[in-house]
Amino acid sequence: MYIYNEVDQRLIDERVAQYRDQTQRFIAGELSEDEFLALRLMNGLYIQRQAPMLRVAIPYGLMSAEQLRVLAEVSRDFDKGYGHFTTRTNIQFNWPKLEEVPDILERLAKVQLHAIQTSGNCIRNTTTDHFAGIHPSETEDPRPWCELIRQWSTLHPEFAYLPRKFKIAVTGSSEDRAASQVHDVGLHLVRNEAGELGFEVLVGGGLGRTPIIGKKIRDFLPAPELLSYLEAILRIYNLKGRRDNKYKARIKILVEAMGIEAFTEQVERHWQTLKDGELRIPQQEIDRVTAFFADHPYREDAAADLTLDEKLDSNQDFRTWYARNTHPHKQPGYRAVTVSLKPHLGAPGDITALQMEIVADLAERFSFAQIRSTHEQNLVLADVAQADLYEVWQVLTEHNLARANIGLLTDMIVCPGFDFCSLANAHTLNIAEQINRTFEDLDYLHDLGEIRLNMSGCINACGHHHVGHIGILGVDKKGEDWYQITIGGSSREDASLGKVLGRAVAADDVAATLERLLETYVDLRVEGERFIDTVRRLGVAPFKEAVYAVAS
Amino acid sequence: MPLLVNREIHPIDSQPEPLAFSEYLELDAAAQAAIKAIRANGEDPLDQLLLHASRFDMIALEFPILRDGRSFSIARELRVAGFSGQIRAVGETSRDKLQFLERCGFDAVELDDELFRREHLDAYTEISVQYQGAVDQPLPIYRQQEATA
Repeated sequence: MYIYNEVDQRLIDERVAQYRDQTQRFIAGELSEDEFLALRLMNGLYIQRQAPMLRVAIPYGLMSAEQLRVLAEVSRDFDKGYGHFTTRTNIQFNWPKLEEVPDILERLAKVQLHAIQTSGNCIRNTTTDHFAGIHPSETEDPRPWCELIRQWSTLHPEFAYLPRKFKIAVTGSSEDRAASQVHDVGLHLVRNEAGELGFEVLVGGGLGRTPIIGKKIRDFLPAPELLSYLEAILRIYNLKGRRDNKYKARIKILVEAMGIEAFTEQVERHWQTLKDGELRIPQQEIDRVTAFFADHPYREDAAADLTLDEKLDSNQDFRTWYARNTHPHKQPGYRAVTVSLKPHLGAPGDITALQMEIVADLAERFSFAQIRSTHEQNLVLADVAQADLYEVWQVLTEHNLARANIGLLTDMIVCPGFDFCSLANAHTLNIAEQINRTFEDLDYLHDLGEIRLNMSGCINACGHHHVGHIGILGVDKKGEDWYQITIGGSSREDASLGKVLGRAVAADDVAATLERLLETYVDLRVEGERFIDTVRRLGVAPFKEAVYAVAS
Repeated sequence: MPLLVNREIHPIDSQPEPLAFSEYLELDAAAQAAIKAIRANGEDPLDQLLLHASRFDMIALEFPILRDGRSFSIARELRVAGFSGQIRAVGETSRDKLQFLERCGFDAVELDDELFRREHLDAYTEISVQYQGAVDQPLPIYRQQEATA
């Protein structure tokens, strides 16, 4: 992974000092509430329902064991001993004290972590495929490009007061595990006919109040021009994006209003003045950054191991976990392991300090001391030799991190909802628990197969409900929590937005409604057909009929 | 209310507020020729501003609200187009924007801040690393090392 040089380190050290000064001036009354708001947001600090919330960046979801240990330390020393992983692959602490945040940042900076631009109307953490660099079907590793974007976007003087937040995702494979089509900018690494590396560029995707799938603005952007092209897009957006209404300020609204042709024309015209200029990334720099993401020294004989098959034959729980929570690796004899942060009854994405340390230990012992966070709110140990899987599983099981539910209904993406977030209209964690209680039976879950369930506590859609195979949106009706259900969404390469199933259901009825929905699916599916495919084949109508027939 | 010019504190000049660029555009050519300073913001047509810019000694770019960052890009465009007069930030400016303002090409800032102290000039040097090229340092980080080597 990328290791800071002296210059990179100096920047985050200086940023900590700068933020400490800003905090002190705010406490001393020299900085207005409003001014400090913009400054603290650019450093990841929200004021939430209960307490401030600090969001720490995990750039493109990659962290070292040492970093995860420090996150554990911070959660213990400054918070309540746990953290929460988000759909931007960052980690949030829900109970820090405002005046202690500079100390937290100082501690984080010692291991090259920071909270720069994890909120506010600026360029946020770039996300990518959590199997980057290891997936057998990958074209090219997207992480060096994510790091180049990280550096370019960090404290960019021109783009710190954008109309609204700005999110970029990069993929390096025809499979999209980064929800790139619902990002402000989605970048797909591709090779052209001449074999040169470049990007297919999408713009104007997003969720929130107005969910939109991104539109293609360029088929092939030569890779060294990545930053000049992003700069062109950002400049047009900064100048033309709406400032009068924060709900219409994202780039997707601008692209819709101008039309993709006109928007493309403006970006391309401006880009002509930038390309082949200073922003063009020299090959030497591409090579320098790429070298940080070179393959690990894998064991050549890893595939010769015979113990895995023995364990798989003799232990059904292990076999189930292996099938569900481990994934193919390009290196023979290795697997990627998903550490499930979706236990039976626990807030999705939450992790305790002890669990962080356990995962850090495992990473050090078995996965080259690196951990990834996924936008689906789990962790990944990306490089585990097959001979080590059994021990990894045992340790994870002991610490409630091995629920064999990855990709299944209970592997839910859930925002923290009303319990924590001051924007939320409805609770989410109680509904997640209700779903967990109802769908406790693992065999049934496995029979239902791959289902992406996403839930948000408000229209801002942090839980990506529009692109869940099943989406649940919490709404407030006269002071009561109600839930609107959508089906048919996807954030993958076949991205689509879910359609509303019918009228919202009361809080107590959510899981029961899902039961009827899924019974209908089981009745209607053809052999081997996933839920999403059945919905695509038949449309919403038969599901709506079956689900609401009972009540009416 | 101090005026900073090239990081130095000046009293605000007593001249009247410069003409709004939208009003300037309404004038006939002769009247336009007499105008040496204007104020503009993100609502004004940028192509027109770039076209007329070389006639002005000073362009005041407005930050009408704290969250409006359009003038950062406008200043940058003016400098790239070769405007060498003063670009002054007015409106919702603040100590904590000073470094970004300078990086984008502002050489003057009106600070509407009763609490302004000389120490606030430290803001210009709080962050010494510049990853991306801008007006002050046109080279991104990966070309800075090359240039000094």
